Amino acid sequence: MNRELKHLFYLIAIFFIISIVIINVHTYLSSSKFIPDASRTSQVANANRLRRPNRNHSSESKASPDLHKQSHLRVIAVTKLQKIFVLSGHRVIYTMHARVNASSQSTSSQGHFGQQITHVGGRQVLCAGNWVALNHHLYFVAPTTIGQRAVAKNWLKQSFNFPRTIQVSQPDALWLRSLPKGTPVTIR
Amino acid sequence: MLKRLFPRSFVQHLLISDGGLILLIILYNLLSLIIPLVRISLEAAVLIFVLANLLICSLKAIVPWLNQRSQP
Repeated sequence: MNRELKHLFYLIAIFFIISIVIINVHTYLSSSKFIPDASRTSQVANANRLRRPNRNHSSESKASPDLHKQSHLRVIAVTKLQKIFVLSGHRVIYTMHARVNASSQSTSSQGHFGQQITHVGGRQVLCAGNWVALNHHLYFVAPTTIGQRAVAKNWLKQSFNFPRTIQVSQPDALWLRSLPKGTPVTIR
Repeated sequence: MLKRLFPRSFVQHLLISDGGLILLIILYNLLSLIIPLVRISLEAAVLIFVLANLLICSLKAIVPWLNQRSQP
């Protein structure tokens, strides 16, 4: 190989390695993107599999885990991060894009679910499907329409007020139906 | 002046090493699916690409000038 080319390869490789070390150290040390309840490695591993938010697709590129085979299940919804973390013990097993329209509280899944839920707010009628009840006034839902118009694919970027709901994509809402009854759900 | 500083052979070698850098980034992002390494976003990848090329071009321009200055 040409000497100059060899030197260029070495320079590029060294610069690349330094860059990724800086990126990894900075990300792992920064606490703003992590929740303290789970290991950072599991959170990073799941974040790497996240797709762009799309209400017709599941949030992660891998298959959703079977919740009945997991132990010590917990669900944590973080409003600021627009994410839901599903934990098994101290490890995140699945991450979902979500908009949390609810106050901070601790509740649990009721094991009730249904096809459609509607909210009338002023002149707007908001419809959502595949709801999963957390208590009498809080639901996981997959938003579908605002008035006559379909909700945008990236529902996180569209502003609408659907109170007392945690809005996720359709496949994620369907998957959340398999959440065992009594699973603790925390909203921060 | 630019042709003198960055001859054709250097530009060709730079393009080859740029291809190598892009390949490294892709392989790293594929590896991050298995090992919990932080994935490089598109913006970060573009930034790394631009900075690497700036570094190499500035070294190519500055090092001969420094050598020239140090010679009597």
